[in-house]
Amino acid sequence: MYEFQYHRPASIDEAKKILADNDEAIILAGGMTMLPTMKLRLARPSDLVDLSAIDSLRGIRKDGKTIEIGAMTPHADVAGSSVVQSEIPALADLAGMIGDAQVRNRGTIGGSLSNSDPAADYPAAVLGLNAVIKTDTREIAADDFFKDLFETALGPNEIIQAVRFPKPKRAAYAKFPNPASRYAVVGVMIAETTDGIRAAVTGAGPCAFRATEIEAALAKDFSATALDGLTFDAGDLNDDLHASPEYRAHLVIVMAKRAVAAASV
Amino acid sequence: MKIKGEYQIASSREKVWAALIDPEVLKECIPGCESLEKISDTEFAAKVIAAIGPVRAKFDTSLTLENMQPPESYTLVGSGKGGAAGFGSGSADVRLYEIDGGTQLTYSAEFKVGGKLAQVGSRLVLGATRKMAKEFFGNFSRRLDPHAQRIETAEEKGEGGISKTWLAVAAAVVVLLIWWFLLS
Repeated sequence: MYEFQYHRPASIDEAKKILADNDEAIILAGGMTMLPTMKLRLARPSDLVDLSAIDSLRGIRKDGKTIEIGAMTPHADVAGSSVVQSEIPALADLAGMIGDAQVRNRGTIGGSLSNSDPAADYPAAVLGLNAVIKTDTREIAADDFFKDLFETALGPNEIIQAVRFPKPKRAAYAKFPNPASRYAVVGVMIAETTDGIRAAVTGAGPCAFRATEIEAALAKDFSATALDGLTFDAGDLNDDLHASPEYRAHLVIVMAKRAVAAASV
Repeated sequence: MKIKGEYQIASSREKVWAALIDPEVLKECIPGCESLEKISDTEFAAKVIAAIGPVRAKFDTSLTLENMQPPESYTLVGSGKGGAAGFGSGSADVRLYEIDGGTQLTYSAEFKVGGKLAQVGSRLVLGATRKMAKEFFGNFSRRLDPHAQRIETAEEKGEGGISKTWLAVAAAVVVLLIWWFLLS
């Protein structure tokens, strides 16, 4: 690891000021991607701005029909929250499937979304459940948030404060995890929301995306058999040593069917 | 695996070609290019910061233009050393076709990485390369034509542009023959 300055501001304003004053400063949430990258000397930030002392960024609140999760809330808190388990069980399940116990206790929802790893789980939840991402300056709809590989709608020093999930009528997440990392080779969140059916896929493309063919088929008939015979275009899907684009395309349909079956119970 | 893409640019093939070999244009369009020095007409040295997600590595890169067929095609060959991060090399076959109202640019690129980047980032190499190629050719096309469109169904084009030209030549020959018959 290269040398860096460590900051632990107590407020968003203080964090913004440090970021504005240092070009090469980087925000540190749970550090589950950033710290390994720094240890490998693949990143060399001049300053780390640790958000863990900002209390307002942490916690889970129920507000009418929505659940608001603070950006610095670790995955284990979401998985174990009785509020999330009773209101949006699919979200608690998804959080419980991320990485291992160490990652779930350090990694945060805000960090996962800002990083937008193509194989991360939370992007599928945010997109599938039609959540809203609240930053220090604005609110971003899930459909506008994920842009490309590790690229989101966030500005350079924009900080996610919270994510608001509307309660779906029913939803479930199914993933085919990499057995070593538990990253999603393919993960699919299926949700019936007040605005219709949503199917969000992670792990398969450069960033999370909606599978409109699956949504259309489920809008007619919300059952796993409605996806029989549906094929998914392997086109620009990810290709690596874990899975070919064709295999991922196949998994998209299989995981979607599993999620529909789980949501239908 | 080859990465392919194509763009339609509302600009003449000669203008697109001139831009493709202009170091200033290349510098502006290469994502993260800090500097680009001309060594000869076909060789350049560039400093490029590759920033993909949390990774930020500075590459000392050499670029060469090979298989030059003005104004139709060339191969852009690059290799770079990123210090502790590893190294990478790649090439892109670029081809220009004359079409109605402008030029169609197609590219077909390959990329390899080695060292630490390949060790820990193998699952991301293809995605990262695809993104950088899309950014470079997107920047390039929009620089010549702000409304340049990427054509999403980037399949093997074959010699479509050329066969269109041949079709026009054949039609002209037929017309001339008919005239020759009528006049004689």
